[in-house]
Amino acid sequence: MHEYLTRSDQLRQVHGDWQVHYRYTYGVAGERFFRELKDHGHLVASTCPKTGKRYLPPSLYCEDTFVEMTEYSPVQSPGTVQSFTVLHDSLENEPLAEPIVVAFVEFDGVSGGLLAPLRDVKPDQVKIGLKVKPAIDTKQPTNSMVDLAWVPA
Amino acid sequence: MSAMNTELRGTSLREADIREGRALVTEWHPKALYKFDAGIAVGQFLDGLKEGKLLGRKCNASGRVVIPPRMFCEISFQRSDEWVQLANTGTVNTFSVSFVNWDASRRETPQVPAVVDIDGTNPNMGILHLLGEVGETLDEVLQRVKVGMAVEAVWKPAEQREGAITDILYFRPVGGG
Amino acid sequence: MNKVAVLGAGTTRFMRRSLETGREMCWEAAQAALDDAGMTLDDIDCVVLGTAPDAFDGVHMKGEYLLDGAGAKGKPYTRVYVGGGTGVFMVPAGWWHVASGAFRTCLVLAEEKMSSTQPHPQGAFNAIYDPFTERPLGVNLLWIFSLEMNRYMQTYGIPVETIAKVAVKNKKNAKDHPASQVAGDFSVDEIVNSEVMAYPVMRLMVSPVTDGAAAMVLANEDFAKKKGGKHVWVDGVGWNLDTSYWTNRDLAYPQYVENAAKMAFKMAGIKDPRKEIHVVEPYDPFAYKELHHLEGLQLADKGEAPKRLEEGFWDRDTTTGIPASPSGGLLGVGNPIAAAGLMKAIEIYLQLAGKAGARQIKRSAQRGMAQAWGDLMQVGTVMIMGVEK
Repeated sequence: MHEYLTRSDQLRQVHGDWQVHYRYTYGVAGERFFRELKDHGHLVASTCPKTGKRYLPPSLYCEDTFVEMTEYSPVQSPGTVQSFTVLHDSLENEPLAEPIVVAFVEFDGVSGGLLAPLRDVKPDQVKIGLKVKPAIDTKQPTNSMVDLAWVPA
Repeated sequence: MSAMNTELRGTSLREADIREGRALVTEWHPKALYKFDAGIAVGQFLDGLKEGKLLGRKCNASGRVVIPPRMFCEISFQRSDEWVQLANTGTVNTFSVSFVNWDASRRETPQVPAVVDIDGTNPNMGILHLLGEVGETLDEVLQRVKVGMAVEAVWKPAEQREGAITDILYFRPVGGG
Repeated sequence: MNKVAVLGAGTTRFMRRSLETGREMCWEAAQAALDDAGMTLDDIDCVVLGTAPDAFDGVHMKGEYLLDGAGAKGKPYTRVYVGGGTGVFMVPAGWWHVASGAFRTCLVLAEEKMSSTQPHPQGAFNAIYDPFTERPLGVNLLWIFSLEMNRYMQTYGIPVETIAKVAVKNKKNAKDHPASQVAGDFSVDEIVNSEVMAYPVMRLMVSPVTDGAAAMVLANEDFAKKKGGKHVWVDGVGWNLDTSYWTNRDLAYPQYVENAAKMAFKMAGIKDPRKEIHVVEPYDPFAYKELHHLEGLQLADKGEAPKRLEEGFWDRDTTTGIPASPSGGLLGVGNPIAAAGLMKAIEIYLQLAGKAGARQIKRSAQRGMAQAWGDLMQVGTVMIMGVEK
């Protein structure tokens, strides 16, 4: 009565792929963030005019008060490692030549933080609470997060 | 919008703004690959195509013969009951003459997609396919193809068939192109 | 069930490509709607957002990504999605949040940033087709429309020049819409002689690729009373879907639109829609679809909507007919998929509230209807609004 497939050679399969790719604008706030990164080699945060809360990465609007943010200011180093992980394999599941440390870093008085590779320190020397500062590529910028890394402060 | 606000927000960019670096962008090329399992009904349908046959499924509860075949009927919500071999002929329910590819680029010669209602099923029981031997220009195709026209399947030679919808090359007007 | 009022609405500009991210556009539209309603985010109890496939913006879990621009941080939040039908579906979705008594107020939004898709958003649609029986044929999104349009034209003998008049009407109406992207004065000849994309579809009969967002604030009767004044109310909602075996359906008539319309008419207590609906925004991604949908919405007999068009029955300044797409629709204002439908629902609110400015219709209107459509030609979503007399 029931027609079930019982052998894998009965399986009919069709292959498909995803034919489009994507080009993302950074937005009003993101455009400012990446211009400051490449032109001035620093990170900027935006400030809510109502509460004074600062946001990193910067945003066009405060998510709490919903008020527009137009004030941007540089973020003062050092930042503090809140969490980190050590990567041993690539996205394609191939072993990496050298392990990569990726750290999430926050800055005093600023809400939010950024994720970036942490360089110039051995993986087994990294601890939560480590002080770091940004190392920004302004010579050959790609205008993306790839231009940002952390180094010990 | 109460003040008939002409100051709507939104910053419009032209392609040139991006090309000339006035607006920064980042790109991502997804690497997503898929393997779809055909399932029971469509699996058997594809096997039928390899043998040069068009197969449908009969649902006794709804009184329909359906193509593409399905193991349950969406009207009666029951399991369908048996396989039926259908004729290789049908009528054109509707057609189009397309000069545009999937990525919006232009084609020199048109594709002629059509919904073909297959003989031996129910009214409006059609499948999507292409028409062939109907002309190379818009005018030629519009001369040759009419809604309601009788068409027949043109198959790939048996040794080239793979068990795919493309084992039928196209449908052509009965009596030749 | 509680009565639900519309307290305000707003949109961004509709643009071919925006600088703003999707999140920023959501905020811009939400802020405009809150301003129009004289409310703040603190007044909002819940948020519902609609946006079409993640594949357009290129962000997975797009609903979650957009939520802080939608004002939804820390609030009950839902994303709904029925393809192109989404925009009008925002009204039923917001409505049931408030009508149920679960929330006093609801902010509904719709957003789309199609410009992210390269080389062209059209390519993202191919995955809507069946991978076995359809995709290997070298399918193209346009086929769905051109096949349906040809069947509709052939069934009723509709000349392509008549269909072109929908594009002429809507692009002209859109000249008075502040958000519009592709408004202008066009002749029937210019429309008919524009580039053949997939016969019988010509380029100027197709709505554009667009980035944009729209938002609307809904509230219960208590909340609306505290605000004072006369209000626009959601009188009826309806939605209905048909089988995805689209080649097995009658393409000349959108049965699912009729089903959705009848659901909304029943809720609104409407017995004679042609007398009781005074303004309509039928979904118009392609010129022929407006006519196809007007018939599904029961405002014209099958095959008769084109004749009514020739008579001026759907013109914005008609005093004896039913103005259709006074906003300028998708053909004139633009088509950021989900936001486009909500823009049309917003137009009904504006017309009934007398706030449509240069677009205000001439005839009096107490009730209006908006409709959208989408998926694999499957969904009809309908909303009816009314004013107190």
